[in-house]
Amino acid sequence: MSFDDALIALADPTRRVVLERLVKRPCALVDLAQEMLPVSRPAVAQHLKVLEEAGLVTVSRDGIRQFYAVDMEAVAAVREYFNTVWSDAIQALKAAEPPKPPPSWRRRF
Amino acid sequence: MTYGNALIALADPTRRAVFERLRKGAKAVGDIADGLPVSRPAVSQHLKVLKDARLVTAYRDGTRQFYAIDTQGLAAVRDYLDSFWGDALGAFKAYAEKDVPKAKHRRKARSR
Repeated sequence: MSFDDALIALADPTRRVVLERLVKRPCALVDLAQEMLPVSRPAVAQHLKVLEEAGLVTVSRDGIRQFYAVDMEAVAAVREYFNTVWSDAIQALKAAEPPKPPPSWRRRF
Repeated sequence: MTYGNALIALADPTRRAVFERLRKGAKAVGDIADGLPVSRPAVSQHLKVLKDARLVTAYRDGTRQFYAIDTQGLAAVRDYLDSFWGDALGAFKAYAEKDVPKAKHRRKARSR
């Protein structure tokens, strides 16, 4: 998994729908494909593969069925990236504001 | 749905590099392009995509055009990812509430 792969995976709207669906409940491909119609089952399988390779989705086996679930730690890592950049940008904004002169400054000079 | 366009914009590694050059403060196009292995027109094009995706804002100071991170647009992406926790917790709650009576029922059935 790389951060690049995670962002590429999240850039696709259908893949985001898959992820939003899986976060509510882990799901087998058959059931997920049924809910994702008109998206075809092979297309859903392909999206799951991309999400899995990006580390955003994990697969577990229960008998012959494979269940897909969201890896919340991976989502947290992406969220942390956005939060860190946001926090840096806020700090930079604060630092860029010119310091206000004390109230007496204008009167004296 | 600004976060969708923002995620598409940042999926490109070069565009992300342009975006990250602004995280420590506003910069002019020339300063953003410095040290990046891309031409200045290419940097301008990436900035336009980032601006359309509400990840950066532009302002003019004299004759120079400056770019800075759009903290509101960026917060929208973070909030979208935050919503996953609400959904995951909601699902866990629903699962826990649904499965408690079922589990009791199964134990009874087995003891018979």
